This record gives sequence, C-alpha cells and structure tokens, in this order.
Amino acid sequence: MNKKIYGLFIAFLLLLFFSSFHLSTKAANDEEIMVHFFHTTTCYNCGEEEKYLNSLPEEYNLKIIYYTMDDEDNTKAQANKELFYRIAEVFDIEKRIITPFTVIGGKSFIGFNENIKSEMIKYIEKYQDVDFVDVVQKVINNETIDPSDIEVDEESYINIPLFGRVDVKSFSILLIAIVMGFVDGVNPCAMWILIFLITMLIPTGNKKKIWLFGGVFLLVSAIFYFIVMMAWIKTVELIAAKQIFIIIIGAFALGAGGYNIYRYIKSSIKQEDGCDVTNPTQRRKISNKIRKIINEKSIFIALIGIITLAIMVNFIELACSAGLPVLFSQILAINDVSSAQELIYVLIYVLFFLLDDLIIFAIATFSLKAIGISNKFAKYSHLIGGILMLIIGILLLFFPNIIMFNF
Amino acid sequence: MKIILITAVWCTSCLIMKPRYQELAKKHNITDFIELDFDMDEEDVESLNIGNTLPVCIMIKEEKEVKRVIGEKKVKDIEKIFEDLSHE
Repeated sequence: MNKKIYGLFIAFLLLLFFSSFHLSTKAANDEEIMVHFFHTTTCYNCGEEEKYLNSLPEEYNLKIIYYTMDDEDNTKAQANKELFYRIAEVFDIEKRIITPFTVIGGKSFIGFNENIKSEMIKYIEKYQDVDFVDVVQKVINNETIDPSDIEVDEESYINIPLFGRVDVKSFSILLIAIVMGFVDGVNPCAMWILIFLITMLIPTGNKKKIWLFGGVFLLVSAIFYFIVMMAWIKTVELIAAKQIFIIIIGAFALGAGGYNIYRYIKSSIKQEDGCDVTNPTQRRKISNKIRKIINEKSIFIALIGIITLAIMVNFIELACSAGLPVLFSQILAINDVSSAQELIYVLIYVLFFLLDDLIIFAIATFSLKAIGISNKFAKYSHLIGGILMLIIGILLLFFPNIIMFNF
Repeated sequence: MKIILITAVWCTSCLIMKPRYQELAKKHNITDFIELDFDMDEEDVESLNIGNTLPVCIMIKEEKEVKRVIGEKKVKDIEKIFEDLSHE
C-alpha cells in the first residue's frame, strides 16, 4: 500500500513538472521593415545579435536602427535611454535598461538566444505579408498607441479553471518553483536540527518557547535560503546567456542528477531506510550547542544562538541541496523574468522548500508532540530530484527553447 | 529476551520507530529494554559497532545477539521478528 502511495506521489510530482513544459509550435509587403535595436557597447549578447541581424538575407528588406545607450555622446545616449523607457512602458515591461532590446513592428524582444532568433524571423516573415504598425516610430512621433498595435502571442496563454487566462511561461515557472522547492525541502539535510530543537523543547511544555525558538529558526533559514538564491540569480544573470555557462550548468545538472539517482539506487539496494550518521562528530557538536541554547536563561542570548545556528547549519548543509536551487536560479535567469517576478518565484520556492518543516513545526507547537517524516521520502526525493536534474540538464544542453517557455 | 534500541534525538526515523519498538516490547512482556542515545551514550554505542544508519535494534537471547534490525521497518515486519524470536 505504501509503495502504491509513493508511486502515486512520484507520478504526481513528475506529472506536475512535465505539465510545466509545452511542446514548441511558426507570413509580400514591399514596405521596409524597421528593426529597432537598443543596445550597449559592453553587452556580449548585443554583439551577437548585431552580427545575426546583419547576416539576415537582403530579401527581408530590413532596416536596422541602432540606439546605443552608452554612446560616447552623452546627450545621444540619454535620448536613447529615454526612448527606451517610453517603449518599455508601451510594452508593459520593467523600467530598467535590459539589453539587447529589439522592437520589430508591434513585437518586442528582450535578450538574445536561439528562440528569439526564430521568433524574429517569424515576425519578419509575417510583416512581409501583412500590414503592420511600427510602434517605436509611433512613440517617436508622439502618436497614441492603440492596444491592437501591440502583438500578443495568443499561443502563450491558456485557460485554467479557477486561475482563468494565464501566461504559459509564468505558470510553467510557478509549477517548477513549487515542484523543485518541495523536492528540495524533503531532503532531510537541515531538518534534523528542527527535529532536535522541537524534541528538546517539548518536555519543557512551554509552547511560547517552542513558537519563538522554532519560529525564529525557520524564519532565519528561509531568509538565508532566499538571500543565497537571489545572490545566485543575480550572479547567473550577468553570465547566464553566455552559451558556455549554459553548457556548464547543463553538464552540472546531468552530473548532479546522476549522483542523486545513484544515491537512490544505493539506498534501495541497502534496504535500510533510516537516518544517516555520517559526520557524527560535527553533529554532536551542533547537538551540544542546541542543548546549551535551550538551557540558556537569557531569551536574548538564546535567540542570538538560534539565529547563529540557523545560518551556520544552512550554510554547511547548502551543499546538500545546492543542485536544485542552482538549476532553478538558472531557469529564472535564462527566462529574463522581471525583478519583481524573481522575488515572487523565489519566495514560492522557499515556501515549498520549508513546507514539510512548517507542518512538523505546527504539529509540535499545537500538540506538543514531535512527529517524524519517514526517511523513505528522502530516498524518493533523491529519485525525483535526480530525474528533474537530468531533464533540466538535457533541456539546457540540447533543447534550450523548451526551458525558456517561448512557444 | 533483551532489547537494546539505539536512537538519536535528531533522527526522524527514530521518532517513527521508537514508539513501535516500545509498544511491541510491552506486548511481548520484554522488560529488559535498554534505550541508548547515539549522542549521549557515545561509549556504549561505539562498543556495539552499529554502522551508519539509525535506529538500530539489537535483540539478545542468552547473552548472544540473535538479530539486528536497522532503519525503518513496518510494524508487521518487526512484529514477525519479535514473534519468531519469542517462539525460538
């Protein structure tokens, strides 16, 4: 029976994960097609896009207009930036300089990758057959932009019961945040500290103390994980689009996925689902620290101890689950989501990462009873985590368009 | 029969298994039930050479170890072990 439940649980998580991917699916006008190309001289992808645009065949009848936003002529650069912000407002995108930023007719493109190349061709070919509105020109002429001037990819929206009309990309990333956060959280690396804290505090019968100590521990763990993930995303964003980095992360995902599956197979062969006692000396040291904190008379000193402990333990144990947050950060970075969306997705990831801890904590505080989550879940988290990493690794290496959710 | 159960405060599997063993010991009238803590009873635990997985339940009969159960097990499985050992 348990096996059936585990099987269904794995199938559900995998289904949720796979459903976040959507298989990719592709129009003579003598009018010259304007390609408005906002760029900076230091941006690597801008150089790549410039080469690409100049390599496009003459029959497309393109006219590339360059807007250099770090032009030596400061007045010109400032004017280009101002135009960029006005265009950004029209396309309802975040008001911060993102390059390369390209506008063809009523369609804007942020960043540059293989998928954007094919999207550009799709619109260029379409505009060769049908009339179109040059939105940038309208903005320059101070003309009113009609909502119908802006191209909307209907294919990128789906109707979901309760949610209504949702953007496939946002919904896909949301699902990935939930699945990956949850799988990452089931990993028992940092949970043992919480269990230890709760088990030591329950005999005191002091619910307030359990709330305070456990709550602070979980809050600090959440903040720490959040900061580490955001720092990683910002680092990745600087280099994310570089092909070599995507290859490195893809290879890392394959390696980490393989290792997780190996761990699952190893523990399945061993047929011993229990707590791993590797590195007992370190564990005993931490255990002794927790005992001291709990027996500390000053609440203030005890709380400082809890905060230090949470940071220290999460830092040590980060390596234990580094794979999934790194991959999730990479997915956010290559999808060019806005800063606000990044915050929301990372918060959702962290919430689901802590979900099992929150459940255990809530039960302990209300019932004064410590419950354990079977280590079988940890074993299956290795399997699911391993499969997810392998899938993401393969997608990053061979099918990046799918993981960029640009359909 | 004598039972030695080694658990740790931080171990989730131990939280699950400890009450199961306690209940079965009670059911089978095993009064010689020793519980050792992996961290607090370090010396005793080391002498038992328990390996890398917790919890560990060692069953002893006539001063000889007759069975060692490691990790999480279903209630019916350990029940069977207890019954088999009781009838030996």
